[in-house]
Amino acid sequence: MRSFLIQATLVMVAFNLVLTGAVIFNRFMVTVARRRYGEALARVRPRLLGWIDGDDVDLRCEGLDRRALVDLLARYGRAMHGESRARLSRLSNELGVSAEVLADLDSPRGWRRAAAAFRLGDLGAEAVPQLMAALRDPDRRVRNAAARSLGRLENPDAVEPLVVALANGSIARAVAGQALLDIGAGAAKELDSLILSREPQVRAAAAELLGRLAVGHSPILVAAVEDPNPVVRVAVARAFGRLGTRSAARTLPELLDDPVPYVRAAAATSCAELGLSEQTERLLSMARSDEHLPASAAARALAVLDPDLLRGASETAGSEYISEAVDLLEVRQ
Amino acid sequence: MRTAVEVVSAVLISYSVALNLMFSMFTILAWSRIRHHHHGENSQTTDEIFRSPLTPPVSILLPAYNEEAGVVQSVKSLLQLRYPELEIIVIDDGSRDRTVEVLKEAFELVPVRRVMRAELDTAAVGQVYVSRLHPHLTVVSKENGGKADALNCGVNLARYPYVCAIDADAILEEQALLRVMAPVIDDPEVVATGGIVRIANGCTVRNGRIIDVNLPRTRLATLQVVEYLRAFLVGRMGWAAVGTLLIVSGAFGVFKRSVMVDVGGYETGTVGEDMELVVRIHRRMREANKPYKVSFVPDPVCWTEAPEDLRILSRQRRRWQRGLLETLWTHRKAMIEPGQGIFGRFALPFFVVFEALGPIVEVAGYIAFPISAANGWLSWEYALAFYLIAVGWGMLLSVAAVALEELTYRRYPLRRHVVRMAVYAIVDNLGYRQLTSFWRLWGIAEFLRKEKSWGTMTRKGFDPAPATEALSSAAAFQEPVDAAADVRR
Repeated sequence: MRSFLIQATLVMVAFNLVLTGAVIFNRFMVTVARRRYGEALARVRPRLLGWIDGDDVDLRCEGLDRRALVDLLARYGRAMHGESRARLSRLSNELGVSAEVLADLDSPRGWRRAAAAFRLGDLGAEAVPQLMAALRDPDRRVRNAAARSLGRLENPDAVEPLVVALANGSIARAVAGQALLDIGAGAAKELDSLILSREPQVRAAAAELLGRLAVGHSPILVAAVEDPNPVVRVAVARAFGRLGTRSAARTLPELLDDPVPYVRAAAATSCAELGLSEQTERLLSMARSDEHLPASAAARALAVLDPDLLRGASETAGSEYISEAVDLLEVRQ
Repeated sequence: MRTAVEVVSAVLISYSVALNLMFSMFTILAWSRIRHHHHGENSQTTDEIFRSPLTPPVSILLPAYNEEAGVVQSVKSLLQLRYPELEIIVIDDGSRDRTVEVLKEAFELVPVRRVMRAELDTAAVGQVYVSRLHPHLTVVSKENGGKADALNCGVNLARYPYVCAIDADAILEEQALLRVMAPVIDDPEVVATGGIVRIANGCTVRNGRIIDVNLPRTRLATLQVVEYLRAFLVGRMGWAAVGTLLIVSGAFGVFKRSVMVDVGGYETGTVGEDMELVVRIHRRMREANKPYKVSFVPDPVCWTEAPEDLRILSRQRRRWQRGLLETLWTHRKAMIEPGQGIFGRFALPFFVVFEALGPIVEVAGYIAFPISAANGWLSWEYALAFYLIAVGWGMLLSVAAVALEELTYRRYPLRRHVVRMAVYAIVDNLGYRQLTSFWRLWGIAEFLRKEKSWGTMTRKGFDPAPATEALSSAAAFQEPVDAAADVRR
């Protein structure tokens, strides 16, 4: 036993020394590597900026300079839009950068595949089929990164797989939703179909996105005011507030009578966004006698729609919600 | 007698080996998770979260008690946070100084009538103010009821689906909220998430921002830097990896508001309200058989000031130990309740055996071994070798935590920082750890005496840079003491 303890002690001491040494040595190596990378960036950046400005610059390079170039292309690609970005994408293709990153999509390491999927969107690479395939990757990070890049590429072919991924929850709803918003109006038709999903959260997300895409009249959204799930009806109410269509203005007041308080609250807020001044009396009544959430939302909506009516109401037959809205109104003015 | 000593020695050795084995396992788990997370940074940016209209809005709750000196700075720091939609609610918990007055002057607060949902019981609420300059800044003044009560008041006032509780002396990095919300956005089952807390002593702060990261000048604070790395990078990450993270730091934690209300909000009768809330969330969600996750993100950084005085540090550690024991005592039945799974059968018993009772066993060992060796019941070589293994293993775990930091985030920029941290990782097992064990033992005694006070905690403030005000003590809240917030382990 004693000899075992002594040996174990020696092993511990050795481990400690090795690990401590490794930590210090690692910092030394990192410092050197960072310095060299910084130098590479300093060499490549002016050349790339020159090329962006239209100079005739040969950007072919190798080693660390190549890595710096790829990083800069991705970084600038992320910040650029339109023709400038398309030009940068062409350069990435010509230099073989896109192909190089694309190859990483087959890496056995999840983080490498995810980084590649993310970068392909920044580089504007012609990689829609590969990214769509990456939406089925076993690693969630890869799927999220692929969805985000498909949104960046704004390719309408990606709408269907994104909608499927949104519906089955394989991609974070916020990520898939943002990608669909990036793609724009082309996504609306597929989103219409999602409102018929069996999953209420998916139906709600679809309604929310349709509202944010603001593509105009959507009969299926109008029909969704009858949805049995209040979360969906809230999303529909919010969507109406953003859509601003005649059908939205016609249908929204129905939700002011919804049995669920937070649906009524969302409807009241949307009434203000739509400028439905014909609903002021209804909202005033809600502000006086409804439950906390709808009463508060109704009073705040009145502050937008008819501040004078609100002030008048606070002096006569007001409520604490009306008083609150009047005070907030005064602060904001 | 000799047999009894041998039995006790065998128990102590087994305990020490089991404890170090468990922490070694957590280190490996944490290592894997952090590397995984760190690599993941190449596949997402906070820009996506920031620009997405689908990112859920957050209500930030800042409880303040006698924070006249630092509260303006803290609020300014929060106003600089990068996040698409948030509201800041400062809850003045009946301060006896000019906390509300300085806020009024700095942010042009005007009194408003505000209807509050009384979903959580709190002490009487007084005036509510809204800032003319920043309409998303609300200040509420209430009677003193303690930090937990102040937070509950903030939850009642919060309008958004997620609430972020932070300490009044904490400094959040600009991207911290975006990063800590990433798991929530990625997975709707996440009901609570916390981020790493680091020690700001030695750093330079300007206008509520850390502008220069440095190690503390004092030994005591530097030891705490290593200790925090071990607690957050290894402990929290390890527990999160097995799905039973029991502590989301009160200094910086995000909760789903509806879940917080469902479980009854913060418990006001404990000094460990942050741990108690998370444990209650685990217990209630499991009772209701609802899917949920408590997540930890190792890189969103919240900086806080550590005590540089043994007396204050002792008080802090005793309070932490009391908070831990209060929580474990309150939820003791969860260990045998059906349906509590790994939380009830593994995490809680682990905390009882290794965290709550740990100081007793450790201090008993420190005393028993030399006595036994002196009386010839145990050989000196044997006792010494055991100490060396226990201490050496502890050193290894501390150095591993520093290595983890070094291989991932490298927040301390200079080479001498890493050398110094490595040295302190070795040294912290030679006295400091034993000292904290003693304080924790003292905390156990205080718990048994039903001690409830927070105690005072004077803060020195961060390194002076132009326009930097010394931050006052943060959140002791409980009358009659006059200060003190701190991070929890």
